[in-house]
Amino acid sequence: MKPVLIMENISKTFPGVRALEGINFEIFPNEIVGLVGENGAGKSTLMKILAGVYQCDQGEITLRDQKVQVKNPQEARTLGIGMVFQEQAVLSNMMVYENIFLGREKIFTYNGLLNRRTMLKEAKKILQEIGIDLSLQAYLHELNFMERQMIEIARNIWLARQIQVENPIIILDEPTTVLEEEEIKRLFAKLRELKRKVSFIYISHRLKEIVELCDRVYVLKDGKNAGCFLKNDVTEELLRSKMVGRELQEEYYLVSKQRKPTDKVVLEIRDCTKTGSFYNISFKLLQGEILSICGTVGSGKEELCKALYGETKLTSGTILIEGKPESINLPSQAFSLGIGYISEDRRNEGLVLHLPVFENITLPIIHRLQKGFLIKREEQFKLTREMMAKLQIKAPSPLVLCFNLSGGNQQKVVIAKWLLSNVKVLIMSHPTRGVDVGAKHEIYGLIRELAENGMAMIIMGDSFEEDIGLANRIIVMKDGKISGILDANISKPTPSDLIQYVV
Amino acid sequence: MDKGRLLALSVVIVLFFALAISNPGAFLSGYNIGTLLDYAATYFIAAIGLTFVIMVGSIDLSIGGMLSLLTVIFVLTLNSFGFLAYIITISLGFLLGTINGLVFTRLKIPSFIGTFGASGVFASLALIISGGRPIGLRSQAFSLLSPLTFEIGIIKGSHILAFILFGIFFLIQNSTPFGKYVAAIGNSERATLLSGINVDRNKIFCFALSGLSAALASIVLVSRMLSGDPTIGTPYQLQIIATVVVGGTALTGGVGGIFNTLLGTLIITLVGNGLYVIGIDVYYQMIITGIITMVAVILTLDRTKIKIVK
Repeated sequence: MKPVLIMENISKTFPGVRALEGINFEIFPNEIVGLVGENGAGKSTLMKILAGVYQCDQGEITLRDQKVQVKNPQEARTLGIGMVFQEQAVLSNMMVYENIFLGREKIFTYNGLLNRRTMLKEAKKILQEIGIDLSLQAYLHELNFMERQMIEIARNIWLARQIQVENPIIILDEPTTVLEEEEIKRLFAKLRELKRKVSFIYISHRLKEIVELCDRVYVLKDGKNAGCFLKNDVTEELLRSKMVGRELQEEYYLVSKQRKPTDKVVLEIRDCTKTGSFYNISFKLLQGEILSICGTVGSGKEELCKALYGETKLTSGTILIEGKPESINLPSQAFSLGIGYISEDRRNEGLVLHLPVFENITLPIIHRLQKGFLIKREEQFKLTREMMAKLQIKAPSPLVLCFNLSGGNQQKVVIAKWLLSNVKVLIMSHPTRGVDVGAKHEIYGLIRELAENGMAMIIMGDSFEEDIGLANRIIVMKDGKISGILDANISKPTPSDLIQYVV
Repeated sequence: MDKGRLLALSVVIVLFFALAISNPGAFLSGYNIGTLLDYAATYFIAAIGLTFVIMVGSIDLSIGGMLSLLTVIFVLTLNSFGFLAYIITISLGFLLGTINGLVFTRLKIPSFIGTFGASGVFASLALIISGGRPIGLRSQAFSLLSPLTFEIGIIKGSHILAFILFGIFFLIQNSTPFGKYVAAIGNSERATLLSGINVDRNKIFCFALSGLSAALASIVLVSRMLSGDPTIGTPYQLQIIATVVVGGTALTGGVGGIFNTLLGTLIITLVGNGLYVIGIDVYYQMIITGIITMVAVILTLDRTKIKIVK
């Protein structure tokens, strides 16, 4: 069989950065190709070249036996190359059928007016063909993430059909980030079914999914090919080692550094309820303990954490801090009681991106660094330098804007901020989201160190593996209640142990 | 029917019956209903384009200035060139709107500031061209306004024009690609862009429509006053924004439409007229308009789009 697409010797240089160097990449018909690599390895640059967002400086793209130059995204679409973006290019205030034909309305207009009937007919045909059962006149805001993804895929397939392209190429960029286990299974089943008509490029940080789904996997490292593996040969370990370039001999989650927490209870919640979200939750958090809370999106775990740092209010129940009942109605109250929160939305909620590192790190404690009305800048720098050294934040100076740091280093700045504020309890929502493998490893190291120094942490991890790997104890929530508590101090449970409580 | 629309419609109905019951003699008189329709037609026509501008999440603050300038221009051209004046005024309105759109999209100035600046320019031009005084229409030119001034009972040509425009723009909004793109851009500009749609071109067209409707409204104003007034526009600006917003079109974009604006027009005119009918000083009108505008914004703003209000 001949490849649909051959990208040969692709190079791309941005000012000061060699993003891609002699990359080769092929896709065959009816294939799901995985693409993995650390952040900055060149995955998205390569895909953007394919989708016409960037042009390559060197190299050739051959699509269906013809040399092509993809000048812009519109042209990519007419060549049968579509990209399903992580942030979703669908419109929530419009209906399913309108979204499918977005940007292609011209063919449905007669005398300048849209013919709704033919649009509906055509939409029904394409949805039936790819086996999606959705009401055509549902608004997109009524659909869930996966259904919206299917609409984007349907849109691309329809477009390919329209321009008479056999076997279009659809790029899926981190499609499972916000999906739950069940939905991922359904998405995969659908993708396997659809590959009879389509070739998929599947970009993900989740190696387990890549291993499970992809027929072939390309690994990129530092803008170069670092290997291409067939389904039968590929393992998570192999991919991880190729991505990082060194064999990850040391254990990934640093379990050997896990310590047993002390007996001192830092935080206790008793019989806490927030109507509609969670009910009668009670647990204790010990000094130096890492507690993971697992569960699906509707399980109430996010709401529970929000209540703990004062973003939402409890309907009833008591929160005790070091044995004293406290009421937490605002994040500022939580903060003064020694509870810190690390948001999964680092770029918007965790940091002020356009402020320098030192301003970010000292932001919560700036009132302590005052002399009269003025801030003692020397003190700010001193503390920042200490933190930068301690957490190995890779920034040329404390004056660098956080905007210019990598995801991993940004996360370290967030952690530094809370360390300086002497919080006793740190709630972390997806602390390693969007961070590459190497930096993840460092963050795990930091979490271990924090625990050793007596910090109590509540973690909502990106995967069960992460939760299990890090935690001393795992609380599983389901439908707003605690469905299971698993001890991970002595021996670690397996993901399947967890799943029985999750669903 | 969505929530905002339903609410606006019920307000219209309640207002109408409240006034009809409280003072039927004054409110339901032919003269009063005629006046009411006069105002409604003007507000509505002026607000058509703004509806599209607000739908994409922008704002046009230059409509007041444009009304001042274009009434002057229309009267002057009507006095000298006759029927050609319609074409000149409408094209000029379209052109001014297009310039607003270009300034906004090409120079990337927030529409709030760009059109705010433009409103100053237009208002000044109106004063310069007219010499600061209202310009009267020559009596020979009166007949040229007959398409707007002819009457069938209490219905005038300008009311019919407003109704026809409603039909046309309702169709444009609901059944043309442009109408869909406007809703799309207002909901997520990035997603629209990624769907291969020329966002800027559609935005510019929204502003052009705003200029066009300001021109049409100026023509209607002249047909009522038989003069061009270089200061007429300023008080209209608030009323016109209120008209769109009170109808339930969200300032955050994506939600609302021309039908909402029709309802908004009715609310604003019924409130204004109602104060007069039940005998409250007309000076209070701006207070009421201001307050109901704020309430409408409170009810319609999509706060998931703007987590922090600036």
